[in-house]
Amino acid sequence: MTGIFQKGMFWVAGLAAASLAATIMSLRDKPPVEGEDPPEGFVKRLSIAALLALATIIAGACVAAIRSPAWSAPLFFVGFGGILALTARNRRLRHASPVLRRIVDLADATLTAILIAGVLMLANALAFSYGERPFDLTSEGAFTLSSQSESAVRSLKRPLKFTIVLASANAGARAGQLLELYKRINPKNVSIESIERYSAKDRLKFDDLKKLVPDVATTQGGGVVIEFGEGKAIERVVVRDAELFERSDPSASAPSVNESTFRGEDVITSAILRLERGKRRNIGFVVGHGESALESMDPRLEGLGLFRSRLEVTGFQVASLSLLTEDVPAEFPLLVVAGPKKPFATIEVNRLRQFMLRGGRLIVIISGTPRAGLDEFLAEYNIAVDPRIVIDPRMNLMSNMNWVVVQTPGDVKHPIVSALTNAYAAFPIPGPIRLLGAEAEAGRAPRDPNRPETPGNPRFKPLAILQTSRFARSTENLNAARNDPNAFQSGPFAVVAAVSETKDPGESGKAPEPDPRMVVISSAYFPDNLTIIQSGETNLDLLSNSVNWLRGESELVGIAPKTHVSRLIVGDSVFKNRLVAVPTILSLAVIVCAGIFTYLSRRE
Amino acid sequence: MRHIPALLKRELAAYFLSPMAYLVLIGFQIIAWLNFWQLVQLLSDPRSAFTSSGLRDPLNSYIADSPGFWIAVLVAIPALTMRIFAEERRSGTIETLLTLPVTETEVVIAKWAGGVIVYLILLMTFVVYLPFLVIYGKYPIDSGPMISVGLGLVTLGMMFVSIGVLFSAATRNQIVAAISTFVVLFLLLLMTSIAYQQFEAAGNTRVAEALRHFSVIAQLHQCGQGLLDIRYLVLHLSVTALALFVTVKIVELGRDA
Repeated sequence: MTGIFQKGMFWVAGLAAASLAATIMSLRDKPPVEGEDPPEGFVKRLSIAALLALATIIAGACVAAIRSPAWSAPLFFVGFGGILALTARNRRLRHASPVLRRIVDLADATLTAILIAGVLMLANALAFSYGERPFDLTSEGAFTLSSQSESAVRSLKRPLKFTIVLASANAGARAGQLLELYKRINPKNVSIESIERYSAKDRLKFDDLKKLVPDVATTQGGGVVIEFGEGKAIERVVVRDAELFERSDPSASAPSVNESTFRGEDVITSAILRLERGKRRNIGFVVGHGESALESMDPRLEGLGLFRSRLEVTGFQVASLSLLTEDVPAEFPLLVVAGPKKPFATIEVNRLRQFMLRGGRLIVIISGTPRAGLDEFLAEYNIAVDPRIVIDPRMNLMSNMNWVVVQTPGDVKHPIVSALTNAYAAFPIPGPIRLLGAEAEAGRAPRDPNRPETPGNPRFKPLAILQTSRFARSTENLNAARNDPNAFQSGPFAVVAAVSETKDPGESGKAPEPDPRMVVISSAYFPDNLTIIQSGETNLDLLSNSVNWLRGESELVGIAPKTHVSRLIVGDSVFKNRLVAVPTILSLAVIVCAGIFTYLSRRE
Repeated sequence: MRHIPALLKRELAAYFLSPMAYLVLIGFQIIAWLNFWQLVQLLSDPRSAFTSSGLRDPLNSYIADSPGFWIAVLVAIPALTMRIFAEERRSGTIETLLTLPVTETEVVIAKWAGGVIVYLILLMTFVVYLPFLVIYGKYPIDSGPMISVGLGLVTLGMMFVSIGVLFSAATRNQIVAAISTFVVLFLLLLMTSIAYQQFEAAGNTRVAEALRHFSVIAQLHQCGQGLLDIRYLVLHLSVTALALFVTVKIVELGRDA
């Protein structure tokens, strides 16, 4: 590019020099004597000088647009100066002869036109260079960044590159539109590239990107890869399209209305701020009991890759921890027990206990069977997951009663579920959660008359935040229960519970807000890749919300999302035909009547 | 400038007392009908909810991205403007006009303003469908994009008509004037868009961005999205001012001759 620019500047400089020379030659022409025709070549030299001056001005405008107005200043000086000098000289000659007068008038008009063209070109070149903030007149502010985003991008000192991974040629427009706004704020440090992941021409580029950022494999529906920094210090984060959009299903009352909420600015600005700060919070996944692999992204295999990827996008550093070999390190304030297939050893349970005693937060994702060996531990927090399997003949996925589906947000208002409106979470082979202690006594939790209550510490208040439908049933042995309907217990059953710790009232006598301590999800496959894809991301949102609730802060900076409401025209073909025909006929009738009226008036 | 209203009235009478204007209006109305019918089909197709344009930018589907609209403009503007000066020269009425106590500037501005008013009346054939869509079709349209595309179309029309007036003043022959206007508008509409896409595909973003600035289709597309870029309005008005100035000079030289 620099070479081409230098070559171009060489030609432009040559043009300016030629213009200057032509102007001087024209000005040095012997002035015509009164009553005589102008000397031979006078008009030709004048025309050449004027055209070269105009070409110099146009070249100046191009240089101003491509490079900067400062580079074009000498060109404008030569171009405009030449025209002004020629105009001033010609004015003095206009009375020398009638022929010359005509030539001078023509030259004067041409030169003045060139001068005005030059001024307008300069104005447009300056406007193009410095006036890049159009007015956003949309009601949703689709082309306006918040002040947080603007200051985040403006303050960037290192390069920031967005790579839009497109699922198809027509996709990614909204994300691309947003990223263009970022680039406009800081064009020096922000760059944008697009890759069509399924196209032949971008195949190699996508494979290279996958080697650098394995998580890009999760962008089947499209996404954005954010790269911040350069060289070895570069950090990368993948944001999937599903995280940028919330789409609400058309409701029964308004089937023609499609509302889509674009959260892209909040997600991307938050990611930029975290990358810039460089600090990531740690979250540990307990391993050693047959849990699914954290690195696995393949939805056909067991894996927690999608869950891990979501945590990393929202600023967490994810690590595996084995409690058999070490205590929970101090830098891990939050742990996840994700679907153990084998029971915990006593030493592991003790380490979990120590972790919780020193203020740690825990997400426990276990089924009723196989047992995880955490019954006593959970009972200390007034939670029990019974060794039963819950099925639901009505609310299930693809007629598989073992895959129970629960509509969110449910009846209970809780930060983990309240934002998940009109969504469905999938629970493969869940177990029923039982609340112990005061909540059970108060009748605010399902009770099992066959199991004695062994309440734990009364400071820990469990709350069932998601329950199955009342058609759900549970049994200890599904195969045996097929022939014995009495082996089933009827629902509803709690499948997600949140435990808060109450604190003593302070000096003011007012009790502080309870401290979030634990979230229990009674389906070991709840965070698995396949389950997340089947649930349409609701499971992932529920997990993210659980993490945010336990940490007491949101991962997003809180930029208001932009809701775009798309509507459809509702009506049958008669309605649509009428909609088109009526204004057409009316308009044509007006035109024809106006024509006839005019014709008749003229005749009269 | 006090003679401009009288000259403007004369111009509008010349347009609307001839059948040409009504034929052009009917042609425009047919194009608008076809466009609107396509828009209604698009807006009633549930699959449109998942495309990037369509339901998102209905005004662009209706105008900026509609080949029918641009073809209509490419044909209508030269047809309207070719007779402005060329016809008067051919019939000899220009001498009578220029001997009146009016300046060349007044004459040019009045003729140009007449062309712009007729252009705006042509646009009404498209606008007439929108109230029906909103009220009868119960399809609300965001007012912001309507304002920005309206302003964009007005300044664009002013620019196109001024180019037509310029070529009409430069030649005696109406056909030559019409063809010259058509060629320039064609270059502005299509060649800038094609060149911009070529440079963008080649990765030369700076030149592509500069060409995109001049692409009329890209300008109106942006207006249709609800983005009002003052630079485009400045560009249109600059070209209009330059074209009218040159037209005035041509008429002055013609009078002296």
